Amino acid sequence: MSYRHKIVSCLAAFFIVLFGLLLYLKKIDRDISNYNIYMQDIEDIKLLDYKLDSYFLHPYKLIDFDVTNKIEREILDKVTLLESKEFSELVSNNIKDVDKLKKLFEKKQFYFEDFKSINARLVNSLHYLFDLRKSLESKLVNHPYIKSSVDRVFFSFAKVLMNMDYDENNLHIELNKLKKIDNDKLLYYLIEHTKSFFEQLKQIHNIKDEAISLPIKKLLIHMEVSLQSSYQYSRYWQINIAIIFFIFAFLILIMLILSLKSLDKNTKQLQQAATVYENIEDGILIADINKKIISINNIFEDMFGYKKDELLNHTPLILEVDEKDKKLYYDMWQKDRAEDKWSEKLFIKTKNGNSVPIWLKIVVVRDKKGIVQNYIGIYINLSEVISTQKQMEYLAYHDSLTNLPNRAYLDEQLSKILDRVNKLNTQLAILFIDLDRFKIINDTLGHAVGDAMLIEVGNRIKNIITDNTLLARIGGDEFVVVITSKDVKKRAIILAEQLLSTIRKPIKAYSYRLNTTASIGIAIYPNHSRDKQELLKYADAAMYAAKDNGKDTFQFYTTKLSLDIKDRLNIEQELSKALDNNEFYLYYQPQYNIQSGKITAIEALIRWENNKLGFVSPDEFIEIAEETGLIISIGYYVIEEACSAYMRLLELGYRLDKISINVATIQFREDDFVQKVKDIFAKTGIEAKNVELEITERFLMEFSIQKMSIVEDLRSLGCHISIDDFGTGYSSMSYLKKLPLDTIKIDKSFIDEVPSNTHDVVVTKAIIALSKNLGYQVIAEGIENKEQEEFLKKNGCDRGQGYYFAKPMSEDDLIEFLKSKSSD
Amino acid sequence: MLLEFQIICWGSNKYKGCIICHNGINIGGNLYNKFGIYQDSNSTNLGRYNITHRNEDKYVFKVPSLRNISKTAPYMHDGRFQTLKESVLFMSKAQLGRSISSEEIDDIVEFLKTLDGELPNDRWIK
Repeated sequence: MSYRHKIVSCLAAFFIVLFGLLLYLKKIDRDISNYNIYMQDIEDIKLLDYKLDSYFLHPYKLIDFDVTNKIEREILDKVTLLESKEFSELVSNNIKDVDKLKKLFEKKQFYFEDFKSINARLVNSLHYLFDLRKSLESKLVNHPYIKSSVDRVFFSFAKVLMNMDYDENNLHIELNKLKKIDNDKLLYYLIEHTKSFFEQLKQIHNIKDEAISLPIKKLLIHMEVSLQSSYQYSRYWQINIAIIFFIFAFLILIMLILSLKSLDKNTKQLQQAATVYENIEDGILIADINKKIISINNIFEDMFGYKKDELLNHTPLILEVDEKDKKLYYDMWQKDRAEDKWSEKLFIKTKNGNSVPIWLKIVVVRDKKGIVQNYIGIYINLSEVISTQKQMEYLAYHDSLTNLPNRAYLDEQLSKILDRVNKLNTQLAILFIDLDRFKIINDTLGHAVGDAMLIEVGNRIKNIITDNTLLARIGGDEFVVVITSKDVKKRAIILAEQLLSTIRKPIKAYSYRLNTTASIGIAIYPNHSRDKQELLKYADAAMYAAKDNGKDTFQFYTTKLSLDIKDRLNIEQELSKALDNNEFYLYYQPQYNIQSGKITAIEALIRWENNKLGFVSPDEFIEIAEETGLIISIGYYVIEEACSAYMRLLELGYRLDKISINVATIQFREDDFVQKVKDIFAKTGIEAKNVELEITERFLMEFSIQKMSIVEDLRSLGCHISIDDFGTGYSSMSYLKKLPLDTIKIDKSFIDEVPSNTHDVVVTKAIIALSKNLGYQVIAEGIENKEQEEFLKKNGCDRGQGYYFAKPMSEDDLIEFLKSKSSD
Repeated sequence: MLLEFQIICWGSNKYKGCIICHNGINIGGNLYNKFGIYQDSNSTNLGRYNITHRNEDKYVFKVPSLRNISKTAPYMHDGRFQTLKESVLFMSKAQLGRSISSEEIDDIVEFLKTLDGELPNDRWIK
C-alpha cells in the first residue's frame, strides 16, 4: 500500500470516527433531554395522581368536574407521552410498565367516575338536608318528639361530616320511628335522603379505598427508578464509549502523524534518490516492461549526445555500438535471463560516432509479487577509470621528476625485452649512465638546480635514442638505456659516444651554466650475463670503471671488473682492521728547490700492505676509506706518523723546511679537527711552521666559506696550507684570492705534457704567474724528465717533485737518500 | 361576562341542587350519574351499562350540558319530555329527591332560557 493510500484511509477513518463521535454526542444530548422530559413527565403524573387522590379524600366536597376532567386528561396525555419510541429506547421494559400504568389509570377513572356520581348525590343530599332542616324546624315546633328524632338524624350527619363514627343502629331506629309517623312529605324526603346518603357513604368509601389502593404510585416510582438506572447505565456507557472513541481518534491521529512523517521521510528519500539520479556520474536509463525507454538522466544525455526526446519510447538498442559488441549489446537487452542483474564491458558510440568504453549493468526491478516492473540500465563511462588506471600505472612506473620510466618499469620491461631477444636470437645492451660530479652540483647549487639538470639530461638522452628504445632513470643521477640489435656492441659504442657528447654540452639551469660529463658502463646480453639483475650490476660496475678511467667516457664490462668489485669488497673489509693491525705505513717523496736542486721538503704518502691483499694502492683504498669514513682515523694516523718521522729526521740532523701532509676533505667536518692537530703537534714536538697541510682543489668547491675558518685557524697555528691538484677543478679566482693559502701545487696532468703541449704550457705558465702575483709559492708535481724540470725552472716554479728527482720511499731509504744528497 | 354572571346566579340560587351535577364551563357534560336516583325513571335504555357491563352503571348517563337548553327539546336521553317544565320537575323529583313548587319551576325555566346563545348555524345546516 502506498503512503498516499495509507494517509487517505487514515484520514477517512479519522473523519468517520469524528463523525461517529459527533453523532454519539448528539445522542447523549438527546437522551439527557429525553430523560429530563420523561422524568418530569412521571413527576407530573405523580403530582396529578395526588391531586386526583385529594378529591377522593373529600367525598362531600362540591367538585368542579371541569377541573377533574382536565386533570384526568392531563394524566392521560402524560401517560401517552410515555408510550413514545424515545422513551421506550431509554427504558427497556417500559412498554409493559406504561401499559400497566394505563390500565391502572383506566381503572382509577372508572372509580373516579363512580366517585363523581356518588359525590354529586351526597352533596345534593347534604344541601337538600340543609334546606329540609330549616323547613322541618319551623314545621315541627309543636312536635318535640318527632323533632328530637329528626335532630338525632341530623346529628348523625354532623358526626359524619366531622369524621366521627355514628351509631348506625340508632340511626335506623330513629328512621323507623320517623317512618311510623304520619305520611309527611318532608319527613319522607328526610328518610329517603338519609337512607341513600348513608348507603352511598359506604359505597363512596369503598370506591375511595379501592382507588387509592391502586398501585399507581408504586408503579410510577418503579418507572422512575428504572428510568434513572437506565439513564445511569447509558450514561456510564456513554462515558465509556466516548472515552473509547477519544482513544480511537487519538490513535488515528498518531497513525496519521506517523504516516505523515514516513511520507515526509519517503519524500526526502525520493528527493535524495532523484538528486542521486540526476547528479551521479553514470548514465541511467529506465525502461518499461517492454524495454521501451521511459526515462534517462542528464548524464546519459551528455554521455551519448542524444536528447531525451530522441530516446524516449525507443528500446535501448537505438544506441549505436561498436561492431564487435553488437551481438553482446543485443543480448544484454533482449536475451531472457534468470538472474536480476548482469553487466558487461562494451564500447558504445555517441551520436557523434565516438566509441566510449562503457560498463553496462542491467538491473531488473520487481514488485513485491516478483513481477517485473522495469529494467534499469546503468551506463558507467570507463574512459576516466581507464585513464586514471593508466595514470596510476604511469605513476607507479615512472619517475615523477623526469617522467622517464623508473627502476620498476625497467625491471618489468627488461624481462619482456629479454624474452623477445631470446626469440629473435639477437643481443641486448644495457648502457648505465651516471653523471660525473653530480653530487657536487646538487650539494652546492641546490636541489632545484640538480633537478633541472637531471631533466635536461633526460631530455637530451631521449632525443638521441629512438622511440622504441627503453630509457629509465633508476637512481639520483643514474640513467639506463636498453638497446637490442644483432650486433649490439657496435651500436652501443655509437650510442655511448653520442650520449657522452650530448651530455658534455653545457647545461643551463636557472642562472647557472653547468659543465657536466657522464660515465657510461655497458653490459651485453647474453655475452656478459643471462640474468637481467646481473646485467644491470655489470653495467653499473663498468660505469665505475669508466669513472676510474677519467670520467666522460664509456666502458664495457669485463670479467676483471667483477673481480675489482670483489676486490673492493675485500678492501672494505680489510681496511676496517688495517689501523689496528698496523698495516699502514708512510712513504716520503722529497720536494726540492727547482732553482737550487736542494731538498727542502718531503710529502708524506700513505701505503697499505695487507696479508691477504698484499700491497694496495692508495688510489684503490683512499676512495673506499672516504666512503666508509675510515679516512678520518687514517688521517690522524698519517698526521701523527708524518710529524713523528719529521722529528726523527730532525734528530738525525736533517732539518727540512716542511713535511707536506695530505688532508682529506671530510676531515674538515670534524669539529675538533684543529684541536686534535694541535694535540699531535704538542705530542710529537713538531713546530707548526714545519707542517704543510695539503688540501685538494675539490675542497674549495665542496666546502662552504664557513668551513674556511678551520683552514684559517690552522694557518694561524703556523701551518702552511697548500692546494693540491690545482687546475683540475673549477677554482674561482676570487676564492683563490681570499683563501688563506701559502702554496699552490700544479696538477700532474699539466706537467705531463709540458713543454710539448702548448695548451698545458700556457696553463702552467699562467698558474705560476698567478700564484706569484698572489704571493703564493708554486710546487710542480710529477716531474719525470729533464725537459719538464728545465721548463719549470725557467718559468720560476719554486718547488718540484717527481720521479725524475726522487720516487716516494720508505723512511730508511729517505735517510739514505738524504745522506747521499747531503754528501754531494 | 354574561355567562359568568349567570353561573354566579345559578350558584347562589336557592336551588343549589342543579349545579352539583350541571357545573363547569358547559353547565354539565362533565359527569355521569344515575338517571332516577330517588325515583324509578322507567328507562328502557341501560345507559353506560351497555358499554361497561357493570351493575352500578345501569341507567347511568352523561349529565348533559344546559347550553341552549331551551332550544334542544325534546329532553332526556329518550326525549320523553317536550317541555322544560316537565324536565325540571322530573329532575327535582327523581335526581334531587325533593319537592318543588311550580313557581320554583318557572324560575328555573326562566333561568335556563338565559343560557341560550347563538347556535352555530352552519354546523346545523350541514
